[in-house]
Amino acid sequence: MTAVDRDARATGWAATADLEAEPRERVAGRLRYVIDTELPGMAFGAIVRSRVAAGRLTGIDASEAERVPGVFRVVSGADVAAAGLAGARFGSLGEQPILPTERVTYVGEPVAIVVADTAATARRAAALVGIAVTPAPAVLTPDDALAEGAPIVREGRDDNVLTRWARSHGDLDGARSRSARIFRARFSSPAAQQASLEPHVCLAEWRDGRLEVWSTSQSPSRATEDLAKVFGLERDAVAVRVPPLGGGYGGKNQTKLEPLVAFAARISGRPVKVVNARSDEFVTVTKHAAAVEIESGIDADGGFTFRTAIIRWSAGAYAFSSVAVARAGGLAVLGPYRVPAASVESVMAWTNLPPAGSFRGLGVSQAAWAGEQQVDEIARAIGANPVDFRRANLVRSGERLWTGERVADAHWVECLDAAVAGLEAARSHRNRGPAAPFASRALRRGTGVAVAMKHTITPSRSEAEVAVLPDGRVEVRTSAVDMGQGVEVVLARIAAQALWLPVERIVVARPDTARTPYDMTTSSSRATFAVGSAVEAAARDLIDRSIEAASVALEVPPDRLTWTSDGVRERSMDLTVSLAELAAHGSGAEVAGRATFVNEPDRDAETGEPVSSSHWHQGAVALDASVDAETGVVRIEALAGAAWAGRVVNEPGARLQNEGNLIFGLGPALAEALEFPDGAPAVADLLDYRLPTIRDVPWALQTATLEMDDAAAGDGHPERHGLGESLIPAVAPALGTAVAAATGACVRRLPISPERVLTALDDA
Amino acid sequence: MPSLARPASLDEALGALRAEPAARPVAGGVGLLLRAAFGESLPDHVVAVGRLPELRSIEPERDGVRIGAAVTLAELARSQIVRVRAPLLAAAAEAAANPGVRTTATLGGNLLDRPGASDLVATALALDAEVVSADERAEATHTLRSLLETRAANADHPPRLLLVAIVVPRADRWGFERLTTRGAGDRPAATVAMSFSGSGERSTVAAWATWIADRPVPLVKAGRAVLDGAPDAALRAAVDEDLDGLAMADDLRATAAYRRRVLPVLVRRAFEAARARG
Repeated sequence: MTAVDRDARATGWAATADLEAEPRERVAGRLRYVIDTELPGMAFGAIVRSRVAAGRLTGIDASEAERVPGVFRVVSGADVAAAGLAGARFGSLGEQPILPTERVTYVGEPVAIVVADTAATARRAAALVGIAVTPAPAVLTPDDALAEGAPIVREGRDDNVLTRWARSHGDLDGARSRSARIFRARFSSPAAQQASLEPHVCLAEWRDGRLEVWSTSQSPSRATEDLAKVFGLERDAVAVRVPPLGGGYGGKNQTKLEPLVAFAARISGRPVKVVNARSDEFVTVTKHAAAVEIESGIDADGGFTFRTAIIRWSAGAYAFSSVAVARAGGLAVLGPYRVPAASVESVMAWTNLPPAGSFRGLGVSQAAWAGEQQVDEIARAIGANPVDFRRANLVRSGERLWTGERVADAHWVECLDAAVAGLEAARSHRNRGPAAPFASRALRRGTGVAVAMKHTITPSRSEAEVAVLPDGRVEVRTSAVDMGQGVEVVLARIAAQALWLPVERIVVARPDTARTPYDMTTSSSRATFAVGSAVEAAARDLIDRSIEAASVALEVPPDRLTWTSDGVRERSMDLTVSLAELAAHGSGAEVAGRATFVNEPDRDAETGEPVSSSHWHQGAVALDASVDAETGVVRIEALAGAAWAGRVVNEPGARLQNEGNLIFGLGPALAEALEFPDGAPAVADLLDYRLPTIRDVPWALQTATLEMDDAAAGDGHPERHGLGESLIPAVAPALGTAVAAATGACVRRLPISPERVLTALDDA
Repeated sequence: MPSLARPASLDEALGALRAEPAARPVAGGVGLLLRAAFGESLPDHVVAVGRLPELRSIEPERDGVRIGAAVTLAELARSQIVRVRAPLLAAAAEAAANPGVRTTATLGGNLLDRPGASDLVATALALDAEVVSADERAEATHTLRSLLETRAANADHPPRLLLVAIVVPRADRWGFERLTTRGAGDRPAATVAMSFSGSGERSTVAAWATWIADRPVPLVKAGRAVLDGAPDAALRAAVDEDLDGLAMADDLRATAAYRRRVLPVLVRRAFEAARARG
């Protein structure tokens, strides 16, 4: 543990000087995380959680816990009410209280927090807090939640519909009648856990009416706004600091612990730190479980006539990212195909379960599991090669998506071809490992492919500041969070390129919302694209500001000055003012460039409607799998993926993102599932929660990052696409189609577990 | 936290165990860590026996091998003596758990801690292993099977003894099938270990399964059936007889029905592997 140097806190939050060092320190286990941050006089909090899924909260008995030596305070909803904050709400729909005062709505919902001198004391005392609840009927599935007369999860609402996203285009009835064949199927996927190695951690301190928070947040600006709103503070009275995260995967996207920890710190009069135990993580945030009913028609030539889908999602008891998930999944479920008539209804239901939030792939994985598997079923049913069938039906640049909007920049065919070629190359590296020779007669092998389309938040806003430091280095300030995806290196490279400086002269500040400017969120694969664009513009602005400053210093007109990698040069006198000299000159005002980037959606030229996404994340996956027909065990023997990048900023980082996509996607495909019998998670530890490990990853792994030709640069399309999620949604359907190709059996519910494979084989 | 004694010799360890009736011997400590992780009760006193020289040796004995109870699974897997004289045990040690656990977990802990949940138990039982134990009075040798049965029958007051070594007779024809439902170094859904000896009508087979119930399960009928060349349906019926009345494990890794379904497959595969080695 390190004590935070208060001087360092006053002058700025640790910036990285050596960009290569961060990955090295991370792998060596030396990187400092929120959990390593300590403050003098700090206390520890342990959260007391509801053990019932729904009910009226009739009392909290803290008497026994408060007698434990070392316990400072047990904070409950009554304290929130006494502080006049019972009505304070945060979250994407403004519905989450600091602590509930009347009702509990899921197993694991915080109902109190014990503040004590050590974490162990706090945990021990938390187990002694009595919670009196009068149980009420709970709804645990979307079907139950949406049924007539279902118990209402969110008090004051008429039903459990959190959001209903719907869109349609074209003449469905006509398309149906023109169809040569119509296919229908239902696919589903369970909840899952983001399972970042680092759990949620929050440390909060009040100083002179200001709130300072260290948090494992992917969205420090949003957390700042939420905290200001909850406590009735000006935004600049709240600072949220985020050191590098030990993984996020979307799970740390929304505000969760921060208001409760800040309230505990305020009421106990000391800094308070809360570290989620692994079991807490399983009730803090999950993935949206979903069921998809999908219907498609094709004509005699094998082209789509129409596609429709109905998706029902389980949001859990609070809306973390549920509105975005309903939209993202709804947009993606029918895929990037030419579909003249289509409709999608995407219904998100509140349920009495732990809140579902962002999960890398944001709803698209659940949607593509259905949409892409059905594409394969159709291809097989009409005797077409699934790759050729997709190639024939995928949209090209300038063509319309199922929504009716034109896609300016489509690369799915290239991605598919590159993935198939990558699989061919991967096969030459195949090492089937020590597979039992006596299983081989039961092995069936098959190849599967799938494509993925994922939107990015549109519109969204990122701000950046690029400033000259006194030593002549340049500091990039944004609120983008590095969680292992390498955004610091990416931003440094973008700034270095824009400023014609060696990357060693760039430092990247870590998010500290008292100091770094607004950024909507580090999610949606948007940091390289959106924050990168803001940094690039701020760097250009810095060149202008530097020339202005040099013009004043040298008393020459700006048009005689040029930016160079050594500083600002006066052409006629061949005189150069270095950046350090510029920083030292003047009235002490910093020389800094600033910019804001907003990806406003283009409008479709014909319809005038805004497009759904400023660009599409595009990828394809191809894989070989073996199925043991006697045990149902599925092994992936070769795996390849290709993602569209526009322009790659950091080649090793891009490759790692692609590989990480494929490996992350294996989990929900093969084994990960989080079920809630009676509302409580069936598993809450990493021994039994079935994450993939390196032994699930095939030796034969190949990725490709596709880039635009130089000729295409500057034509208005985004040159830097994020790569955080481009392949994940395609992994599970590619595996499902490989199993079907190998055995004729179609598994329609994730994960593709051995038991489900045997059942599907029985049914085939 | 439990109190910890660190004796320097076997005699000291036996003395420490005698002095404190509630004390429990601990070697690798994996079982202890699992108990702590899942909030189960911990012993008040533990006696560390993992470094006692008497428990750390691997030596040839008769036509087989004598292995100290505190030898780790990683050491077992790479021991040349074990690989030659008890290749089934080496194969099981190499397949069990994951590299981190194999480096720490010991043979003795595996045999006694949770015998229904150990690849090594099925293996040692299939090899008809003997165990050498010590108490305050003397060393004694029993079959592993009788020791486990005695302990199971006296679960409330297990006999107080320290496992010193295991003696494994040589078996050249063996099969080992460990079925995990993900590729990870995971706890399996089922493990079947088998050895057989003799030839023709005089051949005998020993087959055991673990991870399917709270104790190791002998597959007597199934072993006989597979030896007699029974067709699949007959083998399945034999497995059902072996499992008759057993409370099958039903957990996140596999349902009881799945375990029941794949056991005949594992038995047949283990047998075919064993026969191929003959």
